[in-house]
Amino acid sequence: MTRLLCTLLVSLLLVAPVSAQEAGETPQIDRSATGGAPTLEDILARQRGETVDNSYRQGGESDGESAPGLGPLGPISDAEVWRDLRFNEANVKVSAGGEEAKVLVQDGGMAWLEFREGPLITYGGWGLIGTLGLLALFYLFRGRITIDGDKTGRTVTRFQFMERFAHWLMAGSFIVLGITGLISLMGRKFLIPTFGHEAFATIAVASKWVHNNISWAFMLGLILAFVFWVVHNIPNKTDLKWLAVGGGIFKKGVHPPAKKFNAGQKVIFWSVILLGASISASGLSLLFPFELPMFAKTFEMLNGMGLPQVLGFGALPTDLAPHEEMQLAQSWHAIVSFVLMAIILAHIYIGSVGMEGAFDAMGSGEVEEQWAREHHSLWLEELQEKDQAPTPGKASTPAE
Amino acid sequence: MKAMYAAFAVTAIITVGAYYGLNQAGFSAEQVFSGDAVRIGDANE
Repeated sequence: MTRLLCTLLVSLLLVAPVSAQEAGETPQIDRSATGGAPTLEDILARQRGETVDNSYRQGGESDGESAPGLGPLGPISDAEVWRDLRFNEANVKVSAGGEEAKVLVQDGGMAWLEFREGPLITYGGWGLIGTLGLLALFYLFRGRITIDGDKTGRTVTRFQFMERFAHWLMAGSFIVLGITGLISLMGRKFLIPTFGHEAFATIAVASKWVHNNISWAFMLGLILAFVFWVVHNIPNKTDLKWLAVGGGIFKKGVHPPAKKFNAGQKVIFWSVILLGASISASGLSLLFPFELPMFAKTFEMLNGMGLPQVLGFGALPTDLAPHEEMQLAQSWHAIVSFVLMAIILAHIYIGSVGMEGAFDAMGSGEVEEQWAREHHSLWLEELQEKDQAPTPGKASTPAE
Repeated sequence: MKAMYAAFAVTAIITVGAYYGLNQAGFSAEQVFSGDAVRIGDANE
């Protein structure tokens, strides 16, 4: 069931950017009056920005042999040449570049641009602002989650140096990636009016340079964090108890038992790993343009599973132009990044101002024993059994 | 906090290293999109 739900979600999310490029069915139009050529209604529909069924125009006959006396195009008309270029069916020869260089007209780019400047920026931006708003409201109503019991003055080592190093490698680079990513996506709309075109050009170039190159630090941090913590993040029954009381974060004095990572942290961990891996994959596809196409194969796989059809989207396109692959990679990269940024904002909140003593875990690595007892009681007991944490009533050093 | 500062320092090193490393390895846009018949920037000179 979990797997099915995940697949469903993945399918839904994958379909989102495509739906911007795909549209509903177009009614059949009688073109007998124009001999099969576009009718006035076709032209008007295109001018209204509606999706036009071009299938009847594809597969032209521009491969005719050149005929002496008929000019350089032979029996081919200009219209046929342009139609073939329009539908990527012309025999284009290029001196440099791969298949992508042979695509001279790619009208899917317009839908992508509109999606990027419209819903992507609007929903993504408001999603982040909404998350910040909810966190502010939570802080207003709940306040800072404090340590309820008496502090012992003793500390327990929560994270070793390398664990914290991996966290900060990932965290530092992610924040920079988030800011530079937002500049790349939204700068044209929000920064140019303030800073002007020239200043924004410099900001955009610097932002792109940083975004492209710092990504490797994020990917390394992601791998290290996965290796260090995956064992501790496998879901178990304790998580259900934790979730049943909302982790105790909504009510003072409620402290459900938890091991090294509680259910909430496990959600963060798997979000970071899965969404981070997905962002990395689409990011690599963007870093090496046209070299690592992912979507045609993914769509083929999803079509094979029948998921898009079940959801009413019909079969997803599998014959994608190289540029469409890049456009989908960018859309997917941004959508998943917005989701992860919202999750990370909540993580930053609870790890800093939202909870007393939480930052120490990743700051010095040493947490107050009472904090550990309230938030990770089972983990503290494990440490005490291993003599890696002070046990109440037991002298930590032998009497002299 | 040493781990945090160390991670930030390594992040900066990786960032600069990735730029020079990828350029050295021939992954600059100039080199990738140049060919025998097309020269972009300083690539293939």
